[in-house]
Amino acid sequence: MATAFHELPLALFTTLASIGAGAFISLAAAFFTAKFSDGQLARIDKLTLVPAIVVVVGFIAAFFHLANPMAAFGVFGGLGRSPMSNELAVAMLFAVAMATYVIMGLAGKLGGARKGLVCATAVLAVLFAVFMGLAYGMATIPTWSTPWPVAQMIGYALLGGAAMGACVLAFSDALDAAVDGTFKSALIAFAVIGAVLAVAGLALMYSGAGSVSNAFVAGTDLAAGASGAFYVAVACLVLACAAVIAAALGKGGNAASAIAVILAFAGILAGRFVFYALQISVGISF
Amino acid sequence: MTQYGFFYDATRCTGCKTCELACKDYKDLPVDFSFRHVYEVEGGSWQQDDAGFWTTDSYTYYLSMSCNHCDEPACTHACPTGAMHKDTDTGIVSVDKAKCIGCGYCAMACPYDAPTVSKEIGHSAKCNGCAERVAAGMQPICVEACSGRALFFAPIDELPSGEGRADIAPLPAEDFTGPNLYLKKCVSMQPVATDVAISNILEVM
Repeated sequence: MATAFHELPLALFTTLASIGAGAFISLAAAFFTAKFSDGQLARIDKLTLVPAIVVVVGFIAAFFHLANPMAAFGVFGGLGRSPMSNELAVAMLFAVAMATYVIMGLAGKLGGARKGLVCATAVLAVLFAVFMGLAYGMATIPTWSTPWPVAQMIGYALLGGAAMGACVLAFSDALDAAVDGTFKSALIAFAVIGAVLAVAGLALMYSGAGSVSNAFVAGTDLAAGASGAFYVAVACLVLACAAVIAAALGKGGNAASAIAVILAFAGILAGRFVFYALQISVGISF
Repeated sequence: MTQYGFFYDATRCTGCKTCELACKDYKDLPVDFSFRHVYEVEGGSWQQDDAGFWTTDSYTYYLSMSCNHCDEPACTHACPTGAMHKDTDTGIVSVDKAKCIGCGYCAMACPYDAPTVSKEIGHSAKCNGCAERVAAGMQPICVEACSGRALFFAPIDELPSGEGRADIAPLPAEDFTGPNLYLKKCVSMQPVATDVAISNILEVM
């Protein structure tokens, strides 16, 4: 687990970015399936600043990972070649769409552009999650060079985003109106599909690590060291899913969605620690 | 393009680690940091037959290695800024410190543990084949320091004849990155994927 704690800034980045970005997926579904009053829309637009801030805090955390952040403007130099450049390029596209949407919402100028903008932001949020997963697709690290990291990140964005989206709607006094229609099913679907992808992706990577080893370390030892974090992640992700379902069913009031966000954060962060703890090379490094 | 590479004669290496220390001295590296490592590789077992006689197939060998300036370096593929790059004239892989953000992806990706990144040094750092010495017609300092003449560095078509690229345990199969480390093997050397142990882990990590 020492490797995992060394990557704390990246663990925070991928956790916060997936939750914050994922919220726009749920919000997009809400705007396409529910009717809100002008007052509710104004409150939702104000509180949409929260997931945006969560994403920004994630980006700031990522900078703490760098030994020389002053050169960070060069990160797009590897576009098309480097998985990290690709990830950050998609991240920037998402950030621009998100900022445009949030600023226009705060200014009360979304009007007829609301659905188009939130839909574009949601699509870019999904792409952002996919590219966060692809960022670690290194052939020399067999535990990471699988589809499971991508499944995990999409799952985290759907589940964490469902929790954060429900929270934004709940504290805007708009969740009851939203879950009155088909958004209830959409929110539950996001949470369940997200939890399944996240837990299955994590479990398959965790179990697969046992078959990998090099001269320095055995995957079974790494998995054993990360077992505590693995079980915390699975438990928190399942409970977060349950809390989102409770919120979607109108049970638990605002507290259910707030608890869902806290559980999703804890589960995703623990899952990210497991991910980094299972780094094992085909060669002579960890 | 000329491709430079290392040749390591395992039949001559005594595991003295002079190459490693000469590199640390020449590059003025801190105690916990080294561009070249000498791995002490060992394995095998003892068996007792029905008559009670013990036999062993245990073995040990040394492997002196730094960056292998690979044909398809995993580090340059992962690097987001292009700071880790392969010289088009010599094939030497080195770091442009001004471009490096110190993200550590090169260190994660490299299966030879060549690059090191830390906040103290502020960027990725690794063997550059002593490019400045080579340009001046000299050998890299590790090669010059080797008392057993076990190391060579030259364009790969001028290296001594051996058994080809490094394809021994504990290294990965050569087709991952195409390492420009060529070998003359000693009899103890084991093929790729053999379950070997490194007995000086604390020294090389």
